[in-house]
Amino acid sequence: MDSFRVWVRPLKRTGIWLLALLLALGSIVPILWIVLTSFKTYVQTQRVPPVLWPGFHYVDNYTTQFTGRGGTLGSALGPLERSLIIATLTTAIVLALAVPAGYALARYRILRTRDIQFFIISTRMLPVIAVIVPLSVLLRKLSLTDTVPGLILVYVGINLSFAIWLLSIFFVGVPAEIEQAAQIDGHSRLGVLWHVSIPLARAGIVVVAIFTWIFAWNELLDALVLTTGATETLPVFLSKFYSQNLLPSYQEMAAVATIQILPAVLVTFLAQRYIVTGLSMGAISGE
Amino acid sequence: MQAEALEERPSLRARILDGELGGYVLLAPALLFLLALAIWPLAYSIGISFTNYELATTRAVKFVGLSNFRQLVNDPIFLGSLWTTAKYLLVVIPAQLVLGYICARILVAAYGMIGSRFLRTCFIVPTMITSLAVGLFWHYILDPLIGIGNYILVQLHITSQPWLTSPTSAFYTVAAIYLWQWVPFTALLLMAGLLSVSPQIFEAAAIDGARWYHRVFQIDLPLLLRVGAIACILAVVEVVRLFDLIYGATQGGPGTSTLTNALEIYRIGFQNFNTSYAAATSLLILVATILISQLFVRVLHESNA
Repeated sequence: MDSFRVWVRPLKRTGIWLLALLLALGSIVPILWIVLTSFKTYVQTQRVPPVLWPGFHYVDNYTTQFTGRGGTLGSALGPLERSLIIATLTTAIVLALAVPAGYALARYRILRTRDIQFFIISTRMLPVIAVIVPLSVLLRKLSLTDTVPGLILVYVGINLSFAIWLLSIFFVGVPAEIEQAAQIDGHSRLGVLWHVSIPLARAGIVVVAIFTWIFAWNELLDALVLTTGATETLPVFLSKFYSQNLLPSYQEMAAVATIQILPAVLVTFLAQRYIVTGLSMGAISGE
Repeated sequence: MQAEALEERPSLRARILDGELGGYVLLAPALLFLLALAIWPLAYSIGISFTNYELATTRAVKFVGLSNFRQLVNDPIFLGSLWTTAKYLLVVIPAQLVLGYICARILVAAYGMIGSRFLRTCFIVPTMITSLAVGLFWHYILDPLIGIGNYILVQLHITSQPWLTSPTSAFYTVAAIYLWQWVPFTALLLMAGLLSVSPQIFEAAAIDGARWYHRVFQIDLPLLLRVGAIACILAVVEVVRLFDLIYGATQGGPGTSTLTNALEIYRIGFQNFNTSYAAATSLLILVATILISQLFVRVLHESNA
């Protein structure tokens, strides 16, 4: 019986590890297939049996898509730049608004805090499609359709509630004694926020920054409705590969898609700790 | 505060910010922003849904009473899109929770093993990338002629499938693609839920010689009730807003087999430019999500109290 256990346990552990490997491969292999496709010629994409390993030497799909004139759909360079700017500015504005608000909810006595929290969480669940019609009219009235600021405005609104909520959780976690000590040392309350609380809650700020940036970088529906031609974002550009696929140029789509998913993939690996925190905390933690 | 009386009076600005009133000053900009972007559209949606307003035209706006809503209940495509979204909810949510739970159990069992963190990170990648790209590249993988999906099937001596090209299979293929992207997220949530429980409970169960189904239904299920409810609500919200993925994979076709409610509202409002009618149809989603989010808030707060 004992000798049986001795080799059954490692065997079971190996089996579990292999199952985990299977899950990882199931997620990664389809994505790798697209990355490989982006290094294929048109002829290679049309072959049956498929070309499994094109190598990485054929980079024309990238050079045509991301330079001056571009491919069949024009250049992806402008959309790429715009998406970078929009995601970065959105993140900066969200942090500028959400850090004070999250701190206020965590540390100040505010009437009806609970109602405010209810309201904030409710707006977080609001799907874009439910508000996109009036939003598009609002932006038109403000002459902000087809502009970068207009889209940023909408993205800030969408991300703000999640940011405030998450940051207030992190600020509550900062030990109150440290803040009081700093106040006794002569810091004003805002000074405490700036010099003590923000550095101590920086994990929360990183999480919010990552998720806001990725959201703005990935978002399609708002961008589809609120931008055209000269202001389209990278997802909008990418979406055109569907509508014009009478003669599918999958290799071009794959090149743009690879660039589109690259930041999210990189961040997931480089900041995995924050990603797990953001995904699970955003959903689980109450206050 | 007493400090004020002792020292020289600080400026009005400093006094406000250092007192409890400062909280409102810090909160106000964000709250105003949220109110403007949540309450205003709600009010406006209700307003224009009773008119014949259209974004693209300059014709005079007329009050048309309930005619948009009358059109809505007689619009077979819109009602069909509601039914499609409902079908997705029925098919996808149970599958997402069950598969998520199985994957979570695997992740928990593998927790702490060599490379398990790396494997977990690989697993979660689909959730982080844009659903549009997910839709597009599965469209390519499942291409009826040159896709590698059918090639593999043929190699395994299985007949090739019409994946996204026949109405019936397109519906289920889209559901499967959705699950590929979102099961990792659910699994991660449930994993966090399982890991937050003290391992002694599981060890005790193991020593007791509890069968696997005892462990699933009598230990895990009660423990995961709260996290599971949250995962379920988030999944519902995700299915209700299902747009990007389908936009990349099928754009609602073939026919209207994958035309979800979100896609249909987009089509009405921004391809047919029937703005007021689109506002009326999106009101329905708005009300539904407000109800769902109230449920969410209740689950969250009740279990915290």
